[in-house]
Amino acid sequence: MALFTKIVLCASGNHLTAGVWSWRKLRSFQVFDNDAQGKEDFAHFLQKFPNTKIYLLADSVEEDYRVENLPHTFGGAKHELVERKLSQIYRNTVFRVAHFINREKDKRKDDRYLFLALNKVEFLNGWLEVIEAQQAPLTGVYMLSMLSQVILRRMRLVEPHIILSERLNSGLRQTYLHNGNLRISRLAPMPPEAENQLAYFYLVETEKTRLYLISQRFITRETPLKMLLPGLDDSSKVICRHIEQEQGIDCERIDLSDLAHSIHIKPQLLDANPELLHMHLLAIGNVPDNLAPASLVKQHQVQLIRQGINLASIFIVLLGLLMSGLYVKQALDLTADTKQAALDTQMQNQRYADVAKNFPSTPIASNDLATAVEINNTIKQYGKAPRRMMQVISNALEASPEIQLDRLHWLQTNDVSLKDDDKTLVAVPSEKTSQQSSFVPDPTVLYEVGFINGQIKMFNGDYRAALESVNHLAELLKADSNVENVEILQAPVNVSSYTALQGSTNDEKAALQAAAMFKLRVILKREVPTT
Amino acid sequence: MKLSRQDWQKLRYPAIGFGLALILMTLLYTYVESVRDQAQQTLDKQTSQLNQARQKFQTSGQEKDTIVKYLPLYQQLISDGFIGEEHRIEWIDDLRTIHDQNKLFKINYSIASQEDYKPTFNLNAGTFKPKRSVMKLELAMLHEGDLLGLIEQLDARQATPFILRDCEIVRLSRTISNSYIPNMQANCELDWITLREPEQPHG
Repeated sequence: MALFTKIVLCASGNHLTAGVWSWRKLRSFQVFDNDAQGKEDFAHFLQKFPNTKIYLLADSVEEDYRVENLPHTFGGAKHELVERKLSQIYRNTVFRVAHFINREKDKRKDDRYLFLALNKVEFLNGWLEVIEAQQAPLTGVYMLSMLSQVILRRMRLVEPHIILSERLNSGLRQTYLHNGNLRISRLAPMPPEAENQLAYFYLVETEKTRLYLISQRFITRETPLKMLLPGLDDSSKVICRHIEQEQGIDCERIDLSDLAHSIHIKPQLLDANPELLHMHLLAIGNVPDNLAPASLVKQHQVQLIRQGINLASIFIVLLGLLMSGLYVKQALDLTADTKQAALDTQMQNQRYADVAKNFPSTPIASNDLATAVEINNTIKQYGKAPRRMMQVISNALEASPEIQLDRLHWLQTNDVSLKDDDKTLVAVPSEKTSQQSSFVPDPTVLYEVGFINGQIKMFNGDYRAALESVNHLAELLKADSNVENVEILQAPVNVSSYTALQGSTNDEKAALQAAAMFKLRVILKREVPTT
Repeated sequence: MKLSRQDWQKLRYPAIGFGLALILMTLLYTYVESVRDQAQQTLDKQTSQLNQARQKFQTSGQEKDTIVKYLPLYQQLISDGFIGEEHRIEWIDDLRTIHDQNKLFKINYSIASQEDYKPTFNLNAGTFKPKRSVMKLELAMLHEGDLLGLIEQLDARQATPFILRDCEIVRLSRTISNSYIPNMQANCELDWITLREPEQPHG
């Protein structure tokens, strides 16, 4: 599957090594010469792995390394600052990158960067053209030297000044690392005659590297350097001894077999193709900073979007199926429960039917029988005559012989504020009608309400006495324990300042006075039903 | 990153696939969810029926007691005319009898046609449909005791309950005479309430 497969390429001046990794294991590799045939073969190779991610390692003589400090920034400002610095240093260079080393601990605490670039990329262009023609997703272009520091990290070598001398198919690569961080690296192509004078060749190149480091002020002449020579056999021991004797540099041979075993690559493969070690390190996840511009890795970006969409589709389908499956299971469980409940219902009905055989025959449900009787009883509670109201009024009138009753309107109602429809009296509201009553009626029961119309017997125009009589009657009614509320709806005369008042001072003498009529509303308390 | 026409073409099928997956899964999910909800509703309904059946069986003893207790009362209410048709003839006969026995002045009566009744007081009618006939009584009286006697005797004779809703008693003369002439006039309204049996489900 292309999703879990990756191709790692290592391009040098003469050839290109292409390896195929899947699930962190090297499956196969091929070497292509840097000529037309090699490129054609490489194109065929890529066709076998469509849509597979490609990582390209560059192993070049023309590399540039610079350590620079930049003011500490972050976010967009940091990106802009780094880009400006890159453009300043490598104006016409396409493959370039800034690698963050660390932050200085003193002064302004600037950010320290290693700026890297490939100065000449002719050896890469041919391969990149093939990749572009195939529209293969190139993830990036990386420097091989960046992986040298990964080797040291893997081997836990922590000396402050290390020169790692690696023999590659392209030549001798010497990488200087300060405290485990890459500072510079140089590739010295190895002429055929050097094979016979390998120790001398190493000696010369090491001296060149040392002088370069001193010239760049990475080290001084007194700085104790440590040289590491990775190898699979003991041949590098002789070289090491020479370097120690001639240059006084502490030299140590490293057995690559151990590292190869630890990262699961066959050591035999490294014998003929040492760059496979770097390629494998990259393939298993040690991806360094990318030097390629965005235009070159666009296919990879498109592929990432594509993969993202496909993954989202798969996720939606899986989620949909999972939820649907869950609901289907729930529906099946519910259906089974329903069937069981139906059987239980049937059983309960059967049991009831067996019992109900012995019931007396009834035209309606048993509950309705009880309801009908309850309704009858409730209605009977209200089946009353105005006897209580008459008794209450009669008791009050016995103590008020000057009052004559003309009319009684008795009601059973839940609307105690109901108006009387009596038209015999012109409404002359009493002062007391405006008084707020504390009585709060229950709207669900019927109250006995009585409207009493009466007058003062033998009225002689003494309104003061008439008022007192009516008020006295109202007080007597209120005093009755059956009475809930009494209201004077009309008094014999209204002395309120808010109404008009007229009459004659000769009324008492003239015997032509009008009748002193009044109207009361009496509300009786609820009768507690006797059980 | 600016995408070219070729790049968009590469993304076309995944995008279509994504859209299809989204639509199909939404449809599938909606359908399956509705199936589950329907199953849940069916189960709720069936569970409710089961609970009712259980309750019915468990209270069957109580039900039998209720039938034994209330069936005779119910049958009595039917024979009294509280349930079903009003016994108007019997009512008029009762009124005449009371009139004669108490030597009352003339009583005018009227009974309006029956109508649906919505009680203004607290009454749980259950599945029954209460009906009401408004009755009006007009009688001249020697004194107020005539009215009380009439109403209370009607109540005693009639097993069917009625509610005396409104009664107006007006004095006819300034002084109460001892001779056999009406001194007062009473106008009353009564609600004669009956019930209609609930309709029984067929089958």
